[in-house]
Amino acid sequence: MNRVRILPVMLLAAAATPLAAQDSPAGALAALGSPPDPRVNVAWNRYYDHATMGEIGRRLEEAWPDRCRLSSIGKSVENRDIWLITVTNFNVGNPERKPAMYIDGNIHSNEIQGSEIALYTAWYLCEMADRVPWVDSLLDERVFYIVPTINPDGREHFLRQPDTPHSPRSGVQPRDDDGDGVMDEDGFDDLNGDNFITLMRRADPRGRWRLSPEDPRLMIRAPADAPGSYELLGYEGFDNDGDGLVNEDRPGYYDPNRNWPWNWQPQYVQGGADYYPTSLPETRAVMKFVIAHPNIAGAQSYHNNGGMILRGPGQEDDAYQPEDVRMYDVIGKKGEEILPGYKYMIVWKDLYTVWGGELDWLYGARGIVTFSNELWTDFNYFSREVEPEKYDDADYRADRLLLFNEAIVPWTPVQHPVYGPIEVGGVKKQYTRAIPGFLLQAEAHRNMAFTLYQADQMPLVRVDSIAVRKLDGGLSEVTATVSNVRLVSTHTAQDLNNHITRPDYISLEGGEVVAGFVVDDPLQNLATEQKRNPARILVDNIPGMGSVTVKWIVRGNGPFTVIADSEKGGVDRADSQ
Amino acid sequence: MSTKMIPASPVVLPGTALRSLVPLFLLTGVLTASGHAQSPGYHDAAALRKSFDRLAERHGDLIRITDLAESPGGHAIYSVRIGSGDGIDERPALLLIANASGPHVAGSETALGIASRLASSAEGDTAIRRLLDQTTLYIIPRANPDAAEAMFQQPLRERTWNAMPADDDSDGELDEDGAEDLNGDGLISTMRVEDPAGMWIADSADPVLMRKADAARGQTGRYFVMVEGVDDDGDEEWNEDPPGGIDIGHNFSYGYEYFGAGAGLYPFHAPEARAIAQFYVDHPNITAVYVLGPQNNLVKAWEHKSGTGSSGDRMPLTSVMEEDEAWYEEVARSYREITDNKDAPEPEALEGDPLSFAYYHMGRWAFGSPVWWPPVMEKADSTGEEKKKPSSGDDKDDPLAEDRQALEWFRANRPDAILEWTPVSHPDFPGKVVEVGGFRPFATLNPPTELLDSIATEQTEFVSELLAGLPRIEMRALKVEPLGDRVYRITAELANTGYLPTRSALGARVRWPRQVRVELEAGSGQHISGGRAIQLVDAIDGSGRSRELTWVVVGPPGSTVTLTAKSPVGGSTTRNVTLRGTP
Repeated sequence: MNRVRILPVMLLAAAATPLAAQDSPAGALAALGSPPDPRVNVAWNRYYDHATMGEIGRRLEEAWPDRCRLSSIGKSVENRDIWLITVTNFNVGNPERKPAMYIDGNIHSNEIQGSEIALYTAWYLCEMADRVPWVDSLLDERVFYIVPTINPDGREHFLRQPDTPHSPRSGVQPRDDDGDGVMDEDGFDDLNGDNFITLMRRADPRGRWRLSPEDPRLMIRAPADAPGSYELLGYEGFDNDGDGLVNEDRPGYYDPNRNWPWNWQPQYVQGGADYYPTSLPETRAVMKFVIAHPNIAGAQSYHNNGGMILRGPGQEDDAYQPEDVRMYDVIGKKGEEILPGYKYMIVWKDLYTVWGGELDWLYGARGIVTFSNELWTDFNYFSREVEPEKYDDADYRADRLLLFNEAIVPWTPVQHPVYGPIEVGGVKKQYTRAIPGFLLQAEAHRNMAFTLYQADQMPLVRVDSIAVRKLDGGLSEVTATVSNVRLVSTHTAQDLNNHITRPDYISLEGGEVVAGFVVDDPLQNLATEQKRNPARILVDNIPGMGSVTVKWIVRGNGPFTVIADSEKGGVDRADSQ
Repeated sequence: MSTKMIPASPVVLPGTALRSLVPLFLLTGVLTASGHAQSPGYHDAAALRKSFDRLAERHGDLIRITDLAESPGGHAIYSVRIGSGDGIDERPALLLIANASGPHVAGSETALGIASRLASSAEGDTAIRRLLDQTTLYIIPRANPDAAEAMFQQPLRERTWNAMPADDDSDGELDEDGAEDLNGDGLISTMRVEDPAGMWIADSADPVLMRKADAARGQTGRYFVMVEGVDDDGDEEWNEDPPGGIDIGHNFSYGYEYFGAGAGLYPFHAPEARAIAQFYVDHPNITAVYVLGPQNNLVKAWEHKSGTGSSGDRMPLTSVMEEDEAWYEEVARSYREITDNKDAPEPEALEGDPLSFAYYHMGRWAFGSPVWWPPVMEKADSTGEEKKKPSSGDDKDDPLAEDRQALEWFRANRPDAILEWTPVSHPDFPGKVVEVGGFRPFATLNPPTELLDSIATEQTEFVSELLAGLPRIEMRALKVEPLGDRVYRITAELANTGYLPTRSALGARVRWPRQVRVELEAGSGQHISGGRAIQLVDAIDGSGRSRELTWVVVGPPGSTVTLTAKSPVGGSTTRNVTLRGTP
């Protein structure tokens, strides 16, 4: 069906001047790393609203029915679907039993590009399978659960309403921020009607601010011993509720990434914690999904910004298990290579303390190897570290040199209902944290590459070898070695220590099992008997790039089948010769 | 709106005890002891609900029942609201939670007893009626119905967990190894298996009690001890994954024990616990909470431990805040006076329980008591036989002290609660001596039915006192001073004539219990020249403490401004102020 639509294009390409290889698009040479002629065309230089994201998912599902499914894991406060795009090769293996990589984004309303990175990943995987053998085997072996936004209401607010680059961080469920008994009654006011919330200033010889000599749009502090010329009055707004405070009870305010039930602490320890852990329906929808999918072995939750590859713990006392840190370090260090300008960091140590964060819940409560990338760094403006400057700043410089003054709202006179004639101006909401269009696809691809590397390193069990030795009296000894052929163990130490995921099963079929053993030392043939149900040997863990050996004494001569069944490492089976 | 409820003592001295503030309720006869709707004995889920429904029918103007959630076992979690008059859900309220710890069915019976006593005492123009006109009592009488139901089913087994299936032993199977009644006595009790590899021995003084052998003292173990039953799944663990999953009494967030037995996968995993957490969100007027369950801060009040968190600290609190300590101490003193409860067993730790959640996470004044335990028997006098038998260990550190106390009381008052060791034949232990025995399920937590009535009466008295002690703000000493033509200074003393502060020191840090919002509404031709039209006032201690507020208003003589002070947890009051007088 969709192939039919593709066919004429390919014929056209073949018939044209032999410009390039057969799979190049008509009239062009295919660039590597991008699908030459995608079934679903998506521009990766803009930010999609909730409806359009759903539509992209729907089109991918329609164009790639064997690779992509769209569903919903729950509803937001404002009743929007929390879309899930499942990507795998649905024709190979049982998708529910493949080791899974969970990817989400946009938990903070203003941190929007995580959604595009996640969506790009789904699109790339669909469109590039059949072209890149590595992607094919990835989709044969793995399943990707991609939730582009776990905060659709907040995203919609940021896309549609007047906001700053930093607002709202909260979701939009009303809260009484100022404790006056009324919710969300004093938010920003877009005084000049441009759909941006920028700064207010007033010319004032007693003010302590001046114009920068490098860029007159930029306000800098007057020297301590010299007069200024302007007073800064905060973000656009006025006192809507007459309590003498300006913009003090905006839509929301809680922090969706402090609401998770791992190391949760109330407001006096952790601002934004909200009423109680899991009080938000979006938190619960994700948790429910993750708990229902024990095959999830890796996770990524995209944030912005700062160019960080973050791992937990969010809090000093919540130490990660040393065995797990070794795996994290390998992946994190690889990330620094894939993502120039990004640093592999620990949340509490290198950033700040977080109680009740999502990544800590995923690792702490579910034992899942989890990273959180802080997308975008101003390193990417000029491919170098930005040094602080006295009269300039990187965002203003990049705006002049790369965006030709598009990113900053020039100071504009407006009439303020209380302050009188003032000016408003400053950074547009989709600047400084969100990424300029011409850099967005590159950021998406690099971050995807890191996350695919992580996905490839999830555990993968293989029945390596089966040896059958005949014993007297119609008995056979069957010895099988099962390997985990990737970096991450089938159970992280956190998982193992807390009995989160059941043991791995290694089962024998094809004969009556008399006794079953875990072989502790294959070289010396030292083994421990499993007394109960010996046909299905329970193995606590198969370490990364490691293996376990089991053996059975069986009545019969075979052939025998050995099945390795790991919640996080997948299922594999092999027959004896 | 009048905030006068009970005639407060004319002079309130600092440090005045809670009880002396509310003398009315302590007089005998204020609480009607007769005519309440409670039927004798313990109620299963259906019967309990029916009793409350009947109470609500009879007192339609006072009682309203609301369904909050459904347990995995299909039982409703519901609240019973008791209160009349205006703004029932907007004024200071007490929340009573019972039975989160499932085997503690006595809590539910006490809650029913309190509700029925208050309802019948409120018939006519009584002090209780006036109290319930000004304050609200919410009751969640059966927080863990799935577990409580086990008290009404055969075989009888104490269980703390609800009916949500769980993989307790993490073997990939759900609920595959529960208990069995091996001797057919209708009870699931303790089972001991004689085996030299076992670590347990029978206590020498009270052989029905088992204790761990102390190898260092040369004691040789003789028994394995486990719950009565067989190893259904053949994993050499006995009854390790019984039907059901989450212990509601340990599914709250303060001190939550991740991966603990019955803790669920996360705090508020159980719909029952979530319904209670959400009840706070939906009822910002809950000022204080009383939890009937195994945690206890009324016989021995919570104490502040220095170095465990002060106002500027951003670390989790591990003891009551210093500023709140005295109020807890006073309420506990009053409780002991009313109930004569003493020699309480060591309270259960604060681990995911509803009591610690109420204070440490919701910021409410929070009190808890098990209501009843096997009381300590009076010591024999010098002529009598020494009743207390010598324990095998050091008396003070005797780990069996509480069991001994129970045993002694049961011997004298309820001998059927003691199950002497009885041999059974056990398929998993051929050739070994296996016996069942111990305490009768539910006996240590739930008093004999004949005691329920007197418990409910004294608990009603305490609850009435808590209601009367809720904060109550009043505009005291309202003063208008003319400063010049059309210029007036208004001074108000905002006083809390209740007992409890309008919010605790911790409540101020938690953010949700609200401050007192004071608004001065100026009309046309008037404007506020000094002071704020709207301001928030932080905690005002009770017992008549006050906060002074002033405004300067410019307006025509004889015109009126309106002054309103309001907090869901602290109360509300409105006064009109006429601008008048000449300088």
